Amino acid sequence: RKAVILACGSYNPPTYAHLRMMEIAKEHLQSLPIPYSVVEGVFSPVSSAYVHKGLAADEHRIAMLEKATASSGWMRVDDWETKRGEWTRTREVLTHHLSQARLRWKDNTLSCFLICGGDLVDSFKRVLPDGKKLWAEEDIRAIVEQFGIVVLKREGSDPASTLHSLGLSSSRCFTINDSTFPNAVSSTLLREAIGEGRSIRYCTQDGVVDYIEKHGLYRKIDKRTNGVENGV
Amino acid sequence: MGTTRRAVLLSCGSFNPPTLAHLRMMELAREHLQSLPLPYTVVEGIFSPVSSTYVHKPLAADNHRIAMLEKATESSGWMCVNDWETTRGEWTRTKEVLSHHLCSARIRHSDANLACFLVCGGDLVDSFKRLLPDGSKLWADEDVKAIVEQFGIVVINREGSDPSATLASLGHSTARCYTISDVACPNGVSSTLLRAALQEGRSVRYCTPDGVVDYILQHRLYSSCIKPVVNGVGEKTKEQNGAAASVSPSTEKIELSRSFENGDVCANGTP
Repeated sequence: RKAVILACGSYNPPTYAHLRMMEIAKEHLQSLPIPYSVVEGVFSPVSSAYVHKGLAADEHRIAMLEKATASSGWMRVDDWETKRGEWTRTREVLTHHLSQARLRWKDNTLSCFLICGGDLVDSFKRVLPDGKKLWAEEDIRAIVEQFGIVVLKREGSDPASTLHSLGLSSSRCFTINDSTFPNAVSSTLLREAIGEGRSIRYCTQDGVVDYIEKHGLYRKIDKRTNGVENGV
Repeated sequence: MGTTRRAVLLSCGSFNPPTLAHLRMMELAREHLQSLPLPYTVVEGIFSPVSSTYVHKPLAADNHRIAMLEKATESSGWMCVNDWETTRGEWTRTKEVLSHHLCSARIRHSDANLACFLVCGGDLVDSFKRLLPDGSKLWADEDVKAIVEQFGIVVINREGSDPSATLASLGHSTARCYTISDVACPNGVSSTLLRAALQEGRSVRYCTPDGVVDYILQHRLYSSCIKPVVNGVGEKTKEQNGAAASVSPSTEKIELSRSFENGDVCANGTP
C-alpha cells in the first residue's frame, strides 16, 4: 500500500533534524508488519500570512527547502500553502495533498500521513486564553483517524496516551524516535547563531547555509529599521 | 605591518564512519580561533584517521575510512584528509602526528610560526587522566604536556565530559587550550550510533554527508550480515554481533574482523 508523508511547519530555516524526521518516518512506515511504500515526502511551509515575527519570506523558505531536498529522490517542497495568502488549517493541507497524490499516483487507496513532533500532539489538548480550544475536535479526529500521524517522540511526551485521553483511536498513529542522531538542533537555535554571526555549517545542508548567506537572512534586527529584517 | 598568526587544525580519530559532528567540531574550532582577540587565521583542517593496525575494535579498512573522509570534506575549501598515519603501518602517538603535521604545514605554508592545534571532543581530554587496568597511564605525561602547552587544543564539550576541569587539574599551562560548545546544534551523534544503525539496517542519511552515506551503502560497510544465513544456522552468532564487515574493492571478498576485548586474535590474523 502506498503513502505520502506530509510535514508542515515554518522551516525558518530548515535543519538536518527536519530531513532526519522525514527519513526515519519513511523507514518506519516501510518496516511495518504490513508495510507502506512511501512514494513522496512533502514539506509544506506555512504561509507568512500566519505572521510570526522573524519568519523569512515565503520564497526564501521555499528556496531553502528546495536546496535541502535537492539531493533526495523522494522528498520535495510544495508551495500550495503559501499561495493561498491566508492561514490554512492542517486538515485542509492534508486533504489537498491526499487528493493530489491520489491523482498523481493513480491510486485512490493511497494514504497521506502527517509527520509531527510530540509537542503537536500534546497541543491537541491546548485551550487558548479565551477558553477556546486550539484545535477543532473534528479536525483532530480527521487528522488522527482518517489521515494518520507519525509522531517523533519528545522527552516526556506520550502521544498514544494523549490520543486515548481524547477518545481517539491510535491505530493510525506511529511513534518514532531517532536514536541514531540525538540532536537538539532547531531553527530557533540556528537563527540565534546567524543573528550573532556564528556559523551554522553542518547544522543543515550546505545549499541552505549558502542561500542564507547569499540573501542575508536572519541577520540581527537593525533597530533603525524598526524591526524589519532582511528577507522578511 | 601586523600579521595575523596562522594555524592548522588536526583532528585524529577512527572516523569509523565520519559524522556531521566531526565536521561541525572542526568548523567551530576554526570559528573560535578566528574570533579570538588575537586571532589565528586557520589555513587548513586536517583529518588524520588512525591506522587500522591499532586494532582495539573493528575498524573499516584504512582505504574506506580515507575515502569516506574525502567525501565528507570534498565540499569544504579548507578541510582535507591526510593518510600519513595509515601509511606508517603501526600505532603513532598523537604527539608524533602533531609534530609531523606542524612541520609539514610550516613548510607548505612557508611560515615558521604557524601553529598546529589538536581539535578533539571532551571525552579525549578526559582520557588524559585515564589509567589502564594494569595501573599504567593511558597517556604519557610528557606527551600530554607537549600537546597542551606546545601545540594547543581546541576541545568541544560533549555530554558526559568535563574537559575544562580535566585541563585545569593537569598542572600544565592552559594558555593554548580553548574549550568550546556547540550552542546552535547540540548533537549527540557519534560513529558508534551510526554503526549500530547500519548493523540494524537503519538509515544514517543526514547524520553524515550524502557522499559518505552513499559510499557506506555501496561498499556495504558496517552491516553485520549481508545474507540472512550465517554459519548455516540462520542466526547471528555472538561473534557476528560484534563484527564489522568490510568489502575489499579489489577482491570483493568479505573480511570479518571480530572485536577482541579479551585479546582474541582477529580473523585476518592481526593481534
